[in-house]
Amino acid sequence: MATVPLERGDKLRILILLAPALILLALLIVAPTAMMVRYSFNTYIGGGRDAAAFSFENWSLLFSDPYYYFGLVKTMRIALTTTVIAVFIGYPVAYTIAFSKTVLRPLLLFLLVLPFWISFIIRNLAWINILGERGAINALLMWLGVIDTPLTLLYTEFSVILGILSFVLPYLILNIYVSLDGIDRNLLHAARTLGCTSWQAFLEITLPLSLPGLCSGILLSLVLAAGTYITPALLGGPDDYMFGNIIGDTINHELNWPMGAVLSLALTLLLLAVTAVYSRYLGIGSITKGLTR
Amino acid sequence: MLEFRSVTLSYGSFIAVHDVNLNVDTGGFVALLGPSGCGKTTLLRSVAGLAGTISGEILINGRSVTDVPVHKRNVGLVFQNYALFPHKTVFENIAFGLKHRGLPKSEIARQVKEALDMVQLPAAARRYPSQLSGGQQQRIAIARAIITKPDVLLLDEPLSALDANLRADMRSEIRSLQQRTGITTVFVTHDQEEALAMADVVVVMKDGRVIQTGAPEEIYRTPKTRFVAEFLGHANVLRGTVTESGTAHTIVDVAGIRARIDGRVAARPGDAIDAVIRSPHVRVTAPGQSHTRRARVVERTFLGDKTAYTLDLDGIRITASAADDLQPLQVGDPAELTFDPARITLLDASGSHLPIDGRA
Repeated sequence: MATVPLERGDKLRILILLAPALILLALLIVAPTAMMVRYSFNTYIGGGRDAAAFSFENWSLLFSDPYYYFGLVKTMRIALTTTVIAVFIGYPVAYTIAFSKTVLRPLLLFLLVLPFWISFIIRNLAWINILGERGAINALLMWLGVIDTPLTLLYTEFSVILGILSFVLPYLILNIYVSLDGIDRNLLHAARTLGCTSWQAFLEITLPLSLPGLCSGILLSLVLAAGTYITPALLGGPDDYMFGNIIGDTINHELNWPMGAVLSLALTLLLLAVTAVYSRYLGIGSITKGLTR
Repeated sequence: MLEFRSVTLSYGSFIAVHDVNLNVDTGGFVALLGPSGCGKTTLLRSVAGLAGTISGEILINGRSVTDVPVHKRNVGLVFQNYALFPHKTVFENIAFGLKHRGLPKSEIARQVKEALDMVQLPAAARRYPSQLSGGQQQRIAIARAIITKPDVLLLDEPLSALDANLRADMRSEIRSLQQRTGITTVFVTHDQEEALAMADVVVVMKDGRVIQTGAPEEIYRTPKTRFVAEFLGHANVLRGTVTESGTAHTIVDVAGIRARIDGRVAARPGDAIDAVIRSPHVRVTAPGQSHTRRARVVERTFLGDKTAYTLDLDGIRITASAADDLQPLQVGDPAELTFDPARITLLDASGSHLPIDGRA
């Protein structure tokens, strides 16, 4: 694309227009992160106090204490599992919406974003009523006589994954939907006249052309799932903590700010690395491309 | 041969095409012409199996394809926006149909090369559609559609997305390609000039019905209805009356201008008629001594090889065009009009064609 060189006045105007956003970003993200970086090199004395220092003690603890790195591995495992399940559930839903009748589509999209109207915490708590020992599922199964004693569904990794799944699915579906919606239907007609069955046309045309949306959806889902904090706290058992909970514990209960800073930065860096890999191979632009066509 | 037998196409309660009967000879080149929304594209797509609910029958080479799924019909379809696969190279696009017919790779490569040569883009194989110009994309789309040797080639407004110069080139290119390959071809257009220039047979459609079918010259010279007359070549359709009806000639009074037509017409003096006169057959001159009524020039457009006039004759708008006009009239000038009687076509009061017996 040809770009017209900017004049001095234009540059100034752009800077003024961007200023509120830049100031906000600097205040709310850059400054706190910088403070966290500084904190991460301090030493923890105990009793909620730390001393200014420049030590790598906390950082080395991250790699030497299995509590931390297993936590990180587990977090990534849960995030990945959730995302994989979300893809298999979400793609058909997105496909159905994108290829539904024009009159029906707004309604389906409305239903998709409807959960956002309900508080995130309430949505998590709702699972307790569904999965609990006296919850809807167990009550139904026992009433039907399928089981005698209630199944342990709640406070397990299963319930955590289910909770995160219900959280990330709409985001994933919307991303895939936008990609699918942008596909020229004539491409499918062309493929069909050239000898494809509808399944072959899906594999040759629809699937590859929806990949940008699918990939950006996967990235979004991974990042959102890995950063989850409330869901494991509400729906998980004692062992079903994720990295967010470890950070919360370290800062809120141990009052160990230096270590909390290290852990926060570690998670941020890991997710940034995932995004960087994505950006390197698929182009971060494809996210916005998926949204704007 | 492609046959439509009482084909009616509908989307829910909306009927897009009413009871069309039409035969396209093998190797023929037929244009479906009509204003937008006339059902021409729906009719075209129905051959590929991509249009609504069908009643009636479509036969390709004597075989009914009405119940044959899209991918087994062996038709080539070129879309208005080309619909090239954006994620596939030009080679992959053209090879697509052959690949799904299970041809060996070496054979596919050979045929694709041949097809690229045929559309004069031998070096484009590795490029992506987005790297090609509109005209090049058009050629690739055609190559992709004809490489599978379809029984019928369908072109949906093939030239509408191109600029004017390119359109003229592609027009003759498609025409010659069609003649070389001999593929039975149907194309859709709303551009009457395109239809007349390219097709052997023009099918004029309106409101989902076929109004007139015939060779381009025939349709142009003897429009069967007022609609066809106005749609093709924007003819003047003027109210008039028969003043004299003889065995050898007929005299009509059209908007106060008399015209003596050679030939006999099945009408009596006093009958109301519509006279169809195309603008080149309206002669515009500076007013002379004759007693014909005078018109006034309302608009004048110099078009190089001709000058187009719009004239006002007591509230009636008449278009005329004069070739090589050395003494042009200006806007506001009075003008005298005469009609070339040999080029007048008559419609009766109900708007259908009134034949003139004895006319060549």
